[in-house]
Amino acid sequence: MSSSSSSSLPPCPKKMITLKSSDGETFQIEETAALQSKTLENMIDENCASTPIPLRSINGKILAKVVEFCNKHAEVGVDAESLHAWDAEFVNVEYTTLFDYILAANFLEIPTLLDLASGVVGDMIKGKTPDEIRKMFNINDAFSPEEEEEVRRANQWAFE
Amino acid sequence: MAESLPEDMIMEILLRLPAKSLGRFKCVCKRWRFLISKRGFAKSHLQRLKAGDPITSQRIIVGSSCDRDIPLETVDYEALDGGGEGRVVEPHGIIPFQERCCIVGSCDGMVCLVGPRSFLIYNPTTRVYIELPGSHFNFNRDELFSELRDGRYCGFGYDSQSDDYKVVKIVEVDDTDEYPEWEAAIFSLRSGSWRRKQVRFQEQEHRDVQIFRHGVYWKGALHWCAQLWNVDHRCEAVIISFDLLREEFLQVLPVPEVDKDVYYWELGIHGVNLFIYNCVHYPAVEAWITDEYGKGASWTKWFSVDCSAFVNCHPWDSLLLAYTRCGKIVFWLGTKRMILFDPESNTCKDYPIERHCYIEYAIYLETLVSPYLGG
Repeated sequence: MSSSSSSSLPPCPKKMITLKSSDGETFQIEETAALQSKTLENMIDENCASTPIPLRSINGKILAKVVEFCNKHAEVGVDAESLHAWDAEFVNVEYTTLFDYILAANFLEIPTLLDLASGVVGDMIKGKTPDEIRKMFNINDAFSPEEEEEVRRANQWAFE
Repeated sequence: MAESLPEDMIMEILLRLPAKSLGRFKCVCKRWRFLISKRGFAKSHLQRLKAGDPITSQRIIVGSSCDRDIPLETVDYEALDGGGEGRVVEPHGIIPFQERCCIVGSCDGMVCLVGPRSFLIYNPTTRVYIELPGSHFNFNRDELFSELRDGRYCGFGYDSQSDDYKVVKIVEVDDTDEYPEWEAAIFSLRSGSWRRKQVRFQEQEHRDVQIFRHGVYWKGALHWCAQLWNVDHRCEAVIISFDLLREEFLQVLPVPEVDKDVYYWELGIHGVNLFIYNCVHYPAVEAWITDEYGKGASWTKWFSVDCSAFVNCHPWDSLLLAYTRCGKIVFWLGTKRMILFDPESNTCKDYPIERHCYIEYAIYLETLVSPYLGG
């Protein structure tokens, strides 16, 4: 590697990579911001990021938000308090959108987003009844009423 | 209707829920019950809790060795302020301990209790308990249990290296000598039995070591505030700690430096931090906090409040139990009241709890960790 040439070159332009959503929208993201995703980091390391990266499980609406999140978290000089406030606003959305964030964060391996979105869902659901949870999570393999009563009895401490 | 989430993402969410919600959510469906009940979940949940914001899951368990008819009670101390969802005070009748029991210590959501004949490890959240077997007990049982009932010199904690919970009782085996010999009686939950081990306390040349409460578990060791009296009847306050892996005393830790002689200190747990306070500079209560370990633990001044409007008992009799998320302080006063004190408005509220003599208490976390014997 030659290091002598670096001083004679003009400042390096920001390296951008292109992401393509499931519905065909494309998004530009700076490489430094993209590095928050382990999945993208691996692709960059393996030189697979020079052409648009297709993300078949993430639609354009969600991908736009994910890019926004990564950009914000890559910003230099943001103090913890204002970032916290920004995050709170970012996740002030319907739970269905939060589920989409969780899925995207899991697919792209963005631990900060996964942590944030799962934490908010946790706060949202912690006071709900099993019935409300089943609706939210679209769960169909519920217990029979007798079985449920039995499980409930065994965990009576949690219902007091 | 939402797309259903894959299982590992459901886990991400479950691991962030309070223990009580998880108990309820076992009713959601078979899959959720399986995920919440499976081996290792309680431990992962505990680790997540400790790494996040454990203060929200902190509760207080209160007992007293002389109020025979009053059961142990747990206090959701933030709930008095409208911060919780359940009842503020809950009674706990534990079947083998109908009479009375002492609190030996608390660790990872489990509380160690000692009754007239046996030890119990109890999770006040799930109400699961085990009684420790005593058949391999090497001590004079009656003597040990009578000593234990005063609750001092004992503790309960976790040795992460051996993944083992241990009950420790320090016993003075021979006080006819000039310097007493100390032994530790140790019950390991992994081995399911008692052991005894001679232990050397570096400050043993002191004539007398006084400890007033059970040990506080913090970072792999039990900690007691102690007064060391030397031959000239001079007194020094230190923190004695007992390492649960090596099973030996560590070098004593200093108490915070103050400009007066203060011999009487108490320790407490606030999330992952150890705190220390004294109520001796009446009417001020001063507290320091640390998250460091080792020699010269550096104490940071935490707060100093004047609660003389409420603390009208002997200052030595007031205990600082906890500090809430919005900066209020939970005190136990004398033999009577438990209050939530707001230093900002200089007002207080009483907890609906009644005792007639000195209390014992421990801070514990709401977890799903269940006690069991063996590996």
